[in-house]
Amino acid sequence: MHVMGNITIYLAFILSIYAFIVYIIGIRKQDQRFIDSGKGATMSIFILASMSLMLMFALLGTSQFQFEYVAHYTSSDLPLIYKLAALWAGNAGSLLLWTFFLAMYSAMVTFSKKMKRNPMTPYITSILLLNIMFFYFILCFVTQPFALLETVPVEGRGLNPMLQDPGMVFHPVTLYLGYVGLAVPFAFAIASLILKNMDAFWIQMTRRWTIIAWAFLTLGNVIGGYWAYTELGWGGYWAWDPVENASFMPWLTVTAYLHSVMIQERKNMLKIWNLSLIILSYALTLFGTFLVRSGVLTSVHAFGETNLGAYFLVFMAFMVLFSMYLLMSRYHLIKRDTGQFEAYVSKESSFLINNLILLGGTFAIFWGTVFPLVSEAVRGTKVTVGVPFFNTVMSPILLSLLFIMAVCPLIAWQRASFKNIKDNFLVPAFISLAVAIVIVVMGIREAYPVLGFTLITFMIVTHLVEFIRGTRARRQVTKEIVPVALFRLMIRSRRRYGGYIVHLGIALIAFGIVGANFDVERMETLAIGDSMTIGDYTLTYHQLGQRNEGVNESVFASLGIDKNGRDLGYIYPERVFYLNWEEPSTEVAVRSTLREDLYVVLSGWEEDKRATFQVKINPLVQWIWLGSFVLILGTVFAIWGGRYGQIYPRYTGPKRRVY
Amino acid sequence: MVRRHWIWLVCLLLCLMMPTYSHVKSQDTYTINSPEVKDIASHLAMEGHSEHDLATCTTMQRYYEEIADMLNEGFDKQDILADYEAMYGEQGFREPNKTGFSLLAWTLPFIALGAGTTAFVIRVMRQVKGHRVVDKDKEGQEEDKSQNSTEDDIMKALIEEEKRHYL
Repeated sequence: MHVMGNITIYLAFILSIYAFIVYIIGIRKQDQRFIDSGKGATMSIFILASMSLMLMFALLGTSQFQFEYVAHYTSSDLPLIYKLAALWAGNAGSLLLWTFFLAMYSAMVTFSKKMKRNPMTPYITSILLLNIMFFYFILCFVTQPFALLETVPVEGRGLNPMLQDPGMVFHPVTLYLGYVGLAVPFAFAIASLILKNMDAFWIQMTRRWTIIAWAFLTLGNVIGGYWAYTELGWGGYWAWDPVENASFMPWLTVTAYLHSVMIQERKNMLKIWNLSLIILSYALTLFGTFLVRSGVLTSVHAFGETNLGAYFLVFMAFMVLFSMYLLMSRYHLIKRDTGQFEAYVSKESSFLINNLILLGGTFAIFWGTVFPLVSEAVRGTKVTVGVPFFNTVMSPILLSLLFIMAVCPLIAWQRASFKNIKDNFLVPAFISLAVAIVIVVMGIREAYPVLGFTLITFMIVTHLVEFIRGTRARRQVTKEIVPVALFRLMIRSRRRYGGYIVHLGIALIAFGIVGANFDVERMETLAIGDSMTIGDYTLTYHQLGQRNEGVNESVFASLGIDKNGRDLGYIYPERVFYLNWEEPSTEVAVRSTLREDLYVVLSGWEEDKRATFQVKINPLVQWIWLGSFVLILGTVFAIWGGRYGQIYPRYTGPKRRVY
Repeated sequence: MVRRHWIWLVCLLLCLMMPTYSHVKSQDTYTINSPEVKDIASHLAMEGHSEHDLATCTTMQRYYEEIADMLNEGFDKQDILADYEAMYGEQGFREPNKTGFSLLAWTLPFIALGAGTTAFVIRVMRQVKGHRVVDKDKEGQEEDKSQNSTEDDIMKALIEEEKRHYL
């Protein structure tokens, strides 16, 4: 197995070099035979990457502790699902998964039906192969997944209990699919720069790729948040941790890109901007990997201190410099035939403002994340930049983003008149104002929450107005009944209405985020039979018990819940003691409703069964998960092919003999 | 005279009772569950334990209790934060100072955003001025057209659909 595993990796590394070279020769000589050989090698790399992955899964699943990785991250008592999920618990395994995804995407692009007889294919695959070569170099020479131990341990060290959660089975996979997925539009962008093909072809071809990558990034972030909420026990879903920031930054830049490409497609504007955005997004995925694997910043997510970060930094610098050189050298070509702004207020300008805010947010997060390093380098003082900083800086930025999201859909292309603005915004503005007054009357006086709820209402209403206007306009022409008109309207314009559903999802998430600020927390030590009151809830401590969960032991408490005199049953927070892990893990008990979550943590207990509980009431948190679901629903709706998604753009760039 | 003595006596008693009363009262006022304690704690790095779980992190709990005690002793938020700053310096906090070099952390994102907005405004102004030479009739036509972008899009989609269906 050791030999087989290493062969799959070394052979794939050699093949990636081979494929890259034959592609370059094929492109230079315009000889299809070289290109075909490169394509074959690309498919072989994917097969080898799949074999490596399967082998690793087999080793993890069967507890082959002679392998360093298996011994380090699993134990024989671990449930099978977590044995397999240990693949992404450490550096070598997660990079193996990353490489597999890269190989998979490369094979998909190379052999895609859409890419048949497309002269860009060899260029795109070469760029992707450059990435694959780098990752295989790391797997061959820096961190080897199939390394053997000198002495075989009887038992493995086990998996960190915090990672033994269903969230952790999906969070890294979705995040990696998003990260790696961004390499595809990047490769298309670079290929179009090399080919001096300055139209929107690459953008149209990569639309679905980019949205899929963005959707996976979204899912990765949301699942990560859910995992943090239920598993970490600190009652929050987001802590502005450097690693969380690392995955949020490319999400913001890709969101900006997805909006600005619409302007290029429709108005032939912002070509340099779009190229820069996709290069930046790709660079940020490498930066994130550097952050997680370098150990330069402290994080609960990081893989610990290794020298891997330096390699990623060098590779990132190389790719960014290479891209910037290409961008600069093609600057005069890109500038030619670029569209212009025609008015101060238009959809184009509102999209660009949205981009500015998103990039401003990205910069703020980047700056906050690296500031401890900057401060240490300049002054020798490593300061902490945590939640208070990010909340203060990001709140106005994100509120402005909500405002622009509300305004953007209703502003006309090219030029918006005063009448247009008045007609579209009068009703939403009145409704939002009414909501603001109700909120203030209800007793919420802090500026940000009032502003937040008002803007969310404004955003939801402006979007609903768009649905209503669209349906009405369609009915005037087709005389269909309302549900049919609405359904057909949305189906015929999936991208537009999918985007609006995504916006509504974001509004729901924002609703949850603003609401979560009104949390209340209480920590109390109770004897059996004692009660504690928090908000409308009274919790009565009934029992402290112990049970076996496989080889692990768990201590749990049962508490009766009473809300305003109504019996709501029991809740069971627990602490699990793992055989191979010193620290017990916290299993939070959550009773969720759309209004609020009752969140109970068993903090500790005494011999006389007195126990300490941390209890929180987190208002509106469920809206965050509900909004995420709506967001993904909108994304799927926007990219779902149907009859209207089967039309591919035509390549109009320079002629080439090889494909 | 007797009345004046009584007044003095009552004042003296009140003065004597006040520290005791405020002490007793404040003892009952702040606990680790008080929002004030949570607010102050949210600023502290707590030796790197600030991201931990209050329910299980003893260091964090120690800080919470310490803050509650200080509040009960009559210190206010600023006094307590100043006390921690004297002990640990800027490194004791979860956010950089708003003075000196650290001010850059707070201001640079907004400076960058301001610079970006300025560049955007200048660019749009230049391009819009270039377009102002377009005659007013054309402008009027475009304005009317732009007012109904949703309707236009729907009409276009319907025409496309018809074309696909019949051609």
